[in-house]
Amino acid sequence: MADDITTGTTQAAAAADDSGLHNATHGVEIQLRNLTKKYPGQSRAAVSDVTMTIPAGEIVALVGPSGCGKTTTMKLINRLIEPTSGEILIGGEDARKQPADQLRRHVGYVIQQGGLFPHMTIAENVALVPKMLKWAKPRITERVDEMLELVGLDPAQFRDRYPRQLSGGQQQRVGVARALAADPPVLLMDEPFGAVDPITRGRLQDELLHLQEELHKTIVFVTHDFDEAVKLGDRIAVLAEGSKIVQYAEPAEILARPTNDFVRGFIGTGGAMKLLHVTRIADVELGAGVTAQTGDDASTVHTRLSEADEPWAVVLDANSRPVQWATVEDLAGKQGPVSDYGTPITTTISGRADLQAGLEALLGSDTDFVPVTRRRRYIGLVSLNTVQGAIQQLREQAKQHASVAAGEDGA
Amino acid sequence: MSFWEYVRNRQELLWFETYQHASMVLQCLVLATAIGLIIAIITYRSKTASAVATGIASVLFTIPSFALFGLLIPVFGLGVTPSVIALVLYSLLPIVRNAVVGMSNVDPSLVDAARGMGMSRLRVLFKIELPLAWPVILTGIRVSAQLVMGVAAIAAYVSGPGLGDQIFSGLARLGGANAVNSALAGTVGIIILALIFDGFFVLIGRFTTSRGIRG
Repeated sequence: MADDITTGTTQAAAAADDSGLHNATHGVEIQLRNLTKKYPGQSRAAVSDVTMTIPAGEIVALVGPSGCGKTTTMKLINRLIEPTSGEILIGGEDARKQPADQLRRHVGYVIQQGGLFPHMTIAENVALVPKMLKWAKPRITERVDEMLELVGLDPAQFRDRYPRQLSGGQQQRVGVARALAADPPVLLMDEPFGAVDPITRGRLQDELLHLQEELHKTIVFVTHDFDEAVKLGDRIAVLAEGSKIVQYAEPAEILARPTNDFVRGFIGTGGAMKLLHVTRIADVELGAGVTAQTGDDASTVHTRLSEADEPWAVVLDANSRPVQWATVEDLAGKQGPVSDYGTPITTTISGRADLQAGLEALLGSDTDFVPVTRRRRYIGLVSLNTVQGAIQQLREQAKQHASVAAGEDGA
Repeated sequence: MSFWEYVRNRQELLWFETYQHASMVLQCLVLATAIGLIIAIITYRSKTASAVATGIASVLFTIPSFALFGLLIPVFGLGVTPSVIALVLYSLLPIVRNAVVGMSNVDPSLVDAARGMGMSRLRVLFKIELPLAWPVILTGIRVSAQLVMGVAAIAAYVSGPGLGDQIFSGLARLGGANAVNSALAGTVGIIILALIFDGFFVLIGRFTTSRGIRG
């Protein structure tokens, strides 16, 4: 399991490295000011006086019950729906100053199932916006391949296929590739992963997160799935009817301190478990444990263990990778390299994994501790105590945040 | 005289009339397709407008062809003009109806995606909606072709061109020499033409429909 997490990360990172996306256009800030959309003949506004700032390079998840106006709010940003009043600033510029079609060519747009045009090949679909922007042909061809690679599809194999020859997950990847083709600073995603099976959805979510690590786009992500919002969002805006912002904060804060029953209802049961989900193992205080090198003498390690009053040591190889457990009993009265004794370590977990994965690794392992690695190097130990301590700490932090915020409001 | 002798004797005339028949049908179809598509493009986005357009086309369609030709004589006289007008009016219904249905059946989320990418209305129409509706539109044209092929025979009633002349003169001389041969030659000619046209449309369909949406 720990292995899965590590490989997934390296592959995606490698793909991004190959495509040289380090010079991709980074995200810009989006500001919505007093945005209102009222349809003629309807008494209530679909979007009522929404003001929010979406920070550059972050994923903001708009989450709320169906019909709350979250999709409408998103479509106001690329002016698929024109606001009745209010202002939209993208990168500080008024979105209403330029023609809508021009604006949209610089705002990526991904919809459910990818919205691929069935009569065009995958390459033609991806090339659409660069073509409209009148890029040179060779540059477009190159870009199409680069984009397909970026989303993990072999260009030689997929370039000339038609959408119907692809699985739902593959179509969705092409949808993302198409939206990113012209390197827009902003990406709007409207329940993009809603129509695929849960396993594929999880993978697509992971891939999006890995892409975002490289691309730093500003992403507005509409979903009705709170768990998806928690997983993907740097921030979550919980919306009620009329797109009223009930709470707008980082996932951990919303989970630890929901503002009211509406948000609490949306989080559903298992808030603490979800809190585990939003916290990376590397970000919490890990147990240090006693470590030893494979070449260390068994008796010295035994002495160190006795002095530290620890029952066992983590034996690391030359690359600092945890390889073995060596207990006091294993080493009692033994001589020679410590690597000759003890039991091999079968379970490790990446520091990038969340606490929930850590908890699962703990429950599935025979030991009370699981070694945590970063780039396969040992950085500490996670135990049930670590997890519990982390949750308490998160709740404390949220409380402080809240009181600071309340203080600001009062001032 | 046997049928074959009749055909051989009048080879030249029959070829000429067949050519005229085919040419008239083809030209009327091109005209009707152009007019039908324009009507569909103007009306397809409004339910009322497209219902009115299809309604009018349906009414035109229900006028008996013989009567329609007759009614056109006082206005346009005899010959090619009334023939073409009548045939175009007849072929409009399948074309307009299929074009409207085809275009309004394009998945709205695709239009949304296209607009969201920054395509103008016109570009969406030509790059997305028309290509996606094309197989349905083409079926409409194909139905029209079969229809008009038969109706075109009646154009001979207003002295129009084509194989109808063989049928009409045959029927007028029924009992006389070669009357049956003449009517038969006209009918068989039209059937053969109809089959060739149909095959032609199958080929057009294959070459003009994207592999991504071919059935």
